[in-house]
Formats: sequence, structure tokens, C-alpha cells
Amino acid sequence: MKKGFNFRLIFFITVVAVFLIFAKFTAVNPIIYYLFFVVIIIFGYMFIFRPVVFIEKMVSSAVNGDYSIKKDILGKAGRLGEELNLLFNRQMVSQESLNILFAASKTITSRIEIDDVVNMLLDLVHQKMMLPSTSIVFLDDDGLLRIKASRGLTDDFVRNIHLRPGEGFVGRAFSSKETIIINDATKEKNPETFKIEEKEGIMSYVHIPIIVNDKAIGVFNVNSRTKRFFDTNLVKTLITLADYLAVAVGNSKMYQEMQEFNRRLELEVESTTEELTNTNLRLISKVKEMKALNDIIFSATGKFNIDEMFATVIDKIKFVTSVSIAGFMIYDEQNDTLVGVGDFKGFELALSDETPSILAKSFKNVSTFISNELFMESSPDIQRLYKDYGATSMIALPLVEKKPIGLFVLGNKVTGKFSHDDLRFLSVVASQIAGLIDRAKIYEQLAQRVNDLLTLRDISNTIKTEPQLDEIIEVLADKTIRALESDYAIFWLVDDEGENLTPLFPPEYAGKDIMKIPVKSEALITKIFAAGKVQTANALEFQNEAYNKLQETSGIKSHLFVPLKVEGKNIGLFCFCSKSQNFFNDDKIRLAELMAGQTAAIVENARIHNHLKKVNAELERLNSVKNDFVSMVSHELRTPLTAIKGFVHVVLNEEAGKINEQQKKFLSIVDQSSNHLNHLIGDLLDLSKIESGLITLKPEQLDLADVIRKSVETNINQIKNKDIEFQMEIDKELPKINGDHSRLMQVYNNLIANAVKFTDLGGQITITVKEKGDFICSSITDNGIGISKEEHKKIFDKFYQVDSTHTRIVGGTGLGLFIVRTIVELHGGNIWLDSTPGSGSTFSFLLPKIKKKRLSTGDIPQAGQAPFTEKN
Amino acid sequence: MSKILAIDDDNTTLQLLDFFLTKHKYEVTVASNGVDGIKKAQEIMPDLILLDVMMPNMDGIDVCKKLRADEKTAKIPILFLSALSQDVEVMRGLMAGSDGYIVKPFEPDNLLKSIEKLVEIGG
Repeated sequence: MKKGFNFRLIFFITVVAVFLIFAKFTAVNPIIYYLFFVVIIIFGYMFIFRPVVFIEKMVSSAVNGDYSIKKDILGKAGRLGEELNLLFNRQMVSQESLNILFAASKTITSRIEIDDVVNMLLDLVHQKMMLPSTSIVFLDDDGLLRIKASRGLTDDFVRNIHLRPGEGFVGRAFSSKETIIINDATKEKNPETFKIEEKEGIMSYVHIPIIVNDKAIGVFNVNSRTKRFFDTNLVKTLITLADYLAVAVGNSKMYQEMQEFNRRLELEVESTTEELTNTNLRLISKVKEMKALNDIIFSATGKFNIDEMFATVIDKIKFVTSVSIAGFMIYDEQNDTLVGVGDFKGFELALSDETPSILAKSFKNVSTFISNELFMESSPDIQRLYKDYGATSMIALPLVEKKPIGLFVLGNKVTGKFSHDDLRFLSVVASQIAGLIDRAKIYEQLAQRVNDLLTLRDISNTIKTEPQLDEIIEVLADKTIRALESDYAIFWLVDDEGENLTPLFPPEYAGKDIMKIPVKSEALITKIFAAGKVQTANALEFQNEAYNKLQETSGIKSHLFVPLKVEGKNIGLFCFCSKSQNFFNDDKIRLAELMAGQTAAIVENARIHNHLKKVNAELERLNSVKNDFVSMVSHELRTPLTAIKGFVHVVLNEEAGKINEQQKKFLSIVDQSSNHLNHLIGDLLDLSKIESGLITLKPEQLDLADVIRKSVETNINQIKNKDIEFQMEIDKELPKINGDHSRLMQVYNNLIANAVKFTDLGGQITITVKEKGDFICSSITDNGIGISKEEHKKIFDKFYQVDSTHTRIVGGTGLGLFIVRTIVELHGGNIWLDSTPGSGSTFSFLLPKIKKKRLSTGDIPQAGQAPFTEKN
Repeated sequence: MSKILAIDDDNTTLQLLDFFLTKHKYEVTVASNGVDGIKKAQEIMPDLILLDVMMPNMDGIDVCKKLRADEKTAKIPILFLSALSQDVEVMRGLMAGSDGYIVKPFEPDNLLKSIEKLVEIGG
């Protein structure tokens, strides 16, 4: 074009110049000249003036922003026109690009759909920028770049274009993320697009990568039919557009992601909600279960009575689970059966039975049985449940607490089946119930024990006030029978004489002779009694008619014999009876033994107490009689004696005037006789005390030597009167003893007086006191008449006198030695006699020493101080 | 001369004491019951009182307690002279506040010794 334009100008100038030269040198027809001139003017207008005017017009309109003047007109303006056209195009585009960008930004911000944005963008480029073709390539999922949308391109082309990243300019722009500008398509001859480019007349093009988050997602292609069309500004604009697109895509993607995320979130929320709802439902049911369980357990916890507890649990179970049948089959050890409780009351299942039983199996194997089609089960027990109880479905759960204790059985009538949830829940209930049963059992036992103890305490209390053996036995029997759950009991006690076993319970047999069994008899009961051991038996033959009859009529099948022992001594026998075989198990035996032990003590206490009370009452009575008597005797006998003795003394001492020798002698006899009478009275009083057991000692630590010396002093007159040679051989370091001073003096007085009495004038009396082991031995030896051997023992009996003729002469009451013996024995000693008739007697007695307490300072002799010096 | 008051419901005993003690240089006053005895004790303020236990109406123990309770007679020595010889009875006598207890029938010499001792202390 440019060349064409220049050529035309040169040609025109040349033609004009030739003409002018020709006209100058040749005379030219003026008409031709003018004609030629006109031609030149026309040519000038055509080729010079007009384009200039157009360009002027175009420029001025372009300056005013109007690019509507067709640029092909400019084509006629030759190269300048071309250049102007390009300039204007660019100007137009850059002018337009602001609008485009504005519109694009608006579009992008207002549109979310990526397709809309793409179309909008392409329309802007194609229509507003008036570029012949443009396209947007996106990387597809399969890794190929494909045209997403285009303007000004044939469908064929669009269809056929698919490039790998890095392939071709588009691919390279994509991979490198760099804008590629081709200013002259003819030079590049891109193999993929060349033909099309040629066909479309595309002279320049640009590939702008669309980059979202540093990652190319596609390419924005813009083509132009003008070479070098894309200058920096335009490219910048296009890049901006591409960026907008990228932003739009990014936004869209983000939006999509967000939407996706939202959708996922929604889904998630939806699913979570569902799950929550489910969980909630599960929780609610769980809480309900727990509450139900709690209800059951709590309601049962308050019940310590097993039966009450069962009833409560069954009620609650029915209420909570809406089963129609509920109950327990509790194992009975005695009979080896399962016994129905609750709705199954009266239903018994012998485990030893050979008949196949699902319940028995379930109990034995500790396994759960569940069936929702009871009619299908052939075992007789289930059939019975099906027929008798109308159960259609059933569940049996073993109750185990340390060992199997029974079954927890639930059933439904008509409708209702047991699910796994039910099974799980009921299993939990069963395990809890097992614990409760065990606890209740223990509690019952405890309560029983406490009760027993309370009873025993009550009994002890009553004993303190009114120990009526019969009443006690009755209470005890009642309590023990109840505690052992036995049906009957007979309490035998050995009677006071120890000859017969006498029943004290039941009352109708108490004291009946027919029920008495001599201890020495061969009856079975006496043998058991003699064995003194706890025994159980199932059937017994008693050699006692009444008892056998009783056993027969009351249908007793097992017995438990518990001996009553006090300090190893058998005092009686408890016989508990039950109508059940093997009723008395270890627990019951233990309890029975415990109770027997306490009972024995109580019975014995009661007996002793009763005995003591009787004795006491008697003693009290005797005591008062005796005391009165003793006082009376003392007073009534001694008062006159006082006068006699006193006046005899006065007369004898001649205080009432002179008396002669004979009078004196007789009065002396009166004096001695009154003395004797006084002794007699004293002895009689002592005797009465001894006999009534009233004689008591007032023990104190005393020195025997001191006591002996005083006694000798008392008898010194008689000794001197008889001219007796009196000797004392007392150990120097004699230990002290615990004794009653006046009573011991009485002993020595008596023995000395006796020795003096039976010793002839000028005889010999020796008192010897020696330590002898744990005792102190005192001996009073005389060389008097002596006593024959057969009398040695009798001599210490009351009212015994050795030789009556002699006694008359010397006087005596026959009580002295009896009193002496009693006093010695009361001191824990003993007395004996060694004597040979004719050569004398020795009375010896032992008194126990004070037992030395080890390391007690009071008893340890200190240096320079004899522990037991004689008092002066 | 020391004054002795003898209280006893038995007349012969009183006669014996009167005779015997007068012989041994004592001024003897007798009373045959407790009430009279207390009255006489307050009147004559004796140096010693011989007191029987078993007396009708008021026994010797009560008499002893009354005499001891009265400030005037509280310090007069009292010697029981009683036929009651049991430990309990003797203890009772001594606990009532007496100074001695002699069991009847007494040895006149022993009685004299006891009286002398008590009168000496009292005088």
C-alpha cells in the first residue's frame, strides 16, 4: 500500500513535470493544455486533495473521539492513510479500552458466571475494539487447552484447536505464564494456525496467559489483521483484561469453591444433624433406660426384705419395659430347685429332674435364653410358660452374684418381641438385681444377727431383773427358731441334779416326766448330748415314745443338734427340726452354734442367778434370824454373867469384906465356871456364825510372832498355875502373812489353852513357827495324854470330845477345834494332828505367806533393814 | 475425885459398877435408860461415861451420838460396856464416836485399867 501510494505520487509528479516540459518546449494546443490542466486538477483532487481532506476530517473526528469513519477510506490515502489508520485504530482501541476496562470491571464485578464474563470480554474485544477475532483457551480436565469461547473464528477452527501446554505459542504462553506478542504472522508461520491466520487475514496477534493464584488456567488470544497492531499500551490493556478475566475466574472459582464448600457444609450439617438426631435419640433412649434402671434399682434399694424387693423390681420392670410377664426363678439350695417368684409364683423346676428344661439349662450354664417364638420351643418348661402363662416371647437372664442365684424371666403375651436393645438393657437390670438380691440376703442375715443380738441383750436385761428360766427359754426358742427358719425346736437342759435331760421348750412338754430322759440312758438323744458336738441328721429314731410320735405327726425330716456348753460343760441340747430334707446348711449351723453359745451362757447365768437368788433369800432369812438370835443370846446370857463375874470378883478380892479360905476356894470355882460359861457362849456364837456362813475375815498384814506372844500372854496365868515349861521357837525372819488378827489369836489361844488343859502339872509345851515353802507352819506340842489315831480326824469336828470323863474335869465345849479348823481353812491353810496316846500331841497348821510381787518396791528388802523384824 | 456416869438398863450391872467403882475411889452416878443418861450427863458433866448398847427405847449407839453431837458433852470420854461381841457390833460402837468398847462379862481389873487410862487423858 505504501509503495503504491508513493508510486502514484511520483508518477503524478512525473506526468506533470513531463507535461510542463513538453508544453514549454512545444507549442501545445491551448485546448489540449487546458484539458490537460483540468485532468491534472481532477487527478490532484482525486489523489491529493481528497485524501488530505479525508484524513483531516478523520483526524478531526478522531480527535473528537469518533472513529466511525471507515478506515478503508484511508487505504486510498496510501501509506500515510495506512499509518493514520493504524494510529487511529490504536487510538481508538486505547480510547475504547478505557471504556472496555470500565465495562469489563463492571461486568466482572457484577457477574459471577464465568461464561458471562468470557462472553462479555470477547464481545468487548471483538465489537468495541473491532478486532477481527479473539478467543479464550482454558485448560481442560484432560490436560489439553481448548477454546472455551471465541469471536470471529470459524466453528471448524474452534473445534480443531486443542493444544498441549507448551505446544505452539498458545501453549508456550500458558506454560511460561508470559504474554507472547506476534507482530507479523506471516513471518512466524505457526504450523497449527498458519492456514487459518492466512485465511482470516490475521497479521498480528497476542497470547496472554490467564493466571489465577500464580497458576495459568488459560490463554486470552487476540488477533488483528494489522501488522504490529499490538503496541505496549494495547497489550497492557489486554493484559489488564486478562487479569480481569483471571480475577473473574478466580472469583468464580472461589465462588464455586465456596458454593461447593457451602454445599458440602450443608451436606455435612445435614448429615451431622441427622447423626445428632440419631445420637440424641440414642441418648434419650439411653437416659430413659438409665432412668428406668435407676428407678428399678432405687425402688429396690430401699427394700431389704427380699420378697418386697422382688415385688418392687417386678412392678417397675413391667412399668418401664411394658412386658406383660415378669418374675424370677430363684435357686433353692436345699431342694435343688428353681422356685418361681413374682408372676411365676408356684412354678417350680427341679434341677435334678431328667426332663429337658431350657430354664434349668440357662441357669446351669449361666446363659441367656431368648425366644420370640415360644410355640416353636419343644421343652416342657417353655411349653408350660407358653400354655399356662400365655407367653409368646420370652427372655431368661441368669442372675449371678459370685455364684448363680437364679434366673430373671420376662415374657410378652400376644404381641411384643425382644430386641437386642431389650436384651442389653435387661441384662444390665439382671446384673443389678443379682447384686441387690445378694445384698438383701446379707442384709437380712445382718438384720437377723442384729435382731438376735438385740434379743439376747433384751434377755440379759430381763435376767438382771427377773430371771425366769422358763420365760427366757421361751424367748430364746422363739428367736432361734425364727433365725434358723426351722419349723420346730426342743430345748433340753440337764436338771439341777445332773440326772435327767429335761425339755424346757416347747412349753407343753416342759417339765413333763414323759419327756425326761435319764442322762445315763442309752437313748439317742443322750448319746448326742454326751458327744457334745453339733450334728445334723435327716431322720432319727428316738427311744422316747412321745418324741417319735411328735416326729411322725409333724412330718419332721431333718434335725440339727447343738449342744449347750458352759466352760466346756454340757448343760443341755438344742434340737431344731425342719420339715425339709437337708435343711440345715453350714450357715444355719454356724448361726445355731453362735446362738447356742450365747444361750448356754444366758441359761447358765439365769440358773446360777436363780440359784443364788434362792440361796440369798434363804440366807437373808437365816441371817436375820441368826443375827437376832446371836444378839439376843449375847445379851441375855452375858448380862447376868457380867453380874455374877463382877460380884464374885468383888467378894473374892475382899472388897465387900473378909471371907475365909473355903469361901474363897468356892468363889474361885464360881469364877472359873463363869469364865467357862463365857467361853461357851463365845464358841456357840462363833459356831452359829460358821454354820450360817457369816464368819468373815478382816485380813491385814500381820506378824505371827506378835499374835503368838499376845496369845501366850492371855494364857500365862494358866501356864504358870500348872507350872508348865513353856518354849517358843519362832524363826527370826518370819515373813508376814495376810490374816485376821483376832481370829488368829483365837486359834493360838485355843490351841495353847487346849495344850495346857491336857498337860499335867510341870509338863512341857513348845510352840514352833517355821517357814515351809509357800506357807508358815505353826506347831503346838505338848507332852500330855495324847490322842488315839482314830480320833485324829474326828477331833476337828464340832461337839467332838476326846475323852468325856477327862473333858468333864478340865471343861470344854467341843467346839474349840472345830472353830480353829474353820479359821485356819478360811485363811487358806489346813490343820492336822500328830499324837501318840500317853506321850503327847502336836497340833500343826499352815498359813499361806503373802506372795511376793516382783519388782514391787514395798516388798523388796533394803540394805540394813530386815523386812520382817519383830515388833517390840 | 473423878465422876463416872454408868448408863445401863440392867440394875444388877449398875449395882455392881456402883459398888466396884466407888470402892476404887470414883464418884459414880447411874442412869437406867438413855434419855435419863443424857440428862444426867449434861447435869453432872462426868469425867467418863460407861454406856450399855442394848437398851429399850434409845440404845447406847444413839445415846453416844447424841452426847457427841451436844457441844457440852462432846468431849466426855465414853466407854461402851456391852454384851454384843461381834465384830460388826464392836465396829458400830466405835464408829458412833466412843473411846473404847469392853465386852461383857468384863474382867473387873481390865475395866479399871481402861477407866484409869481414859480418865487420865480426859483430866
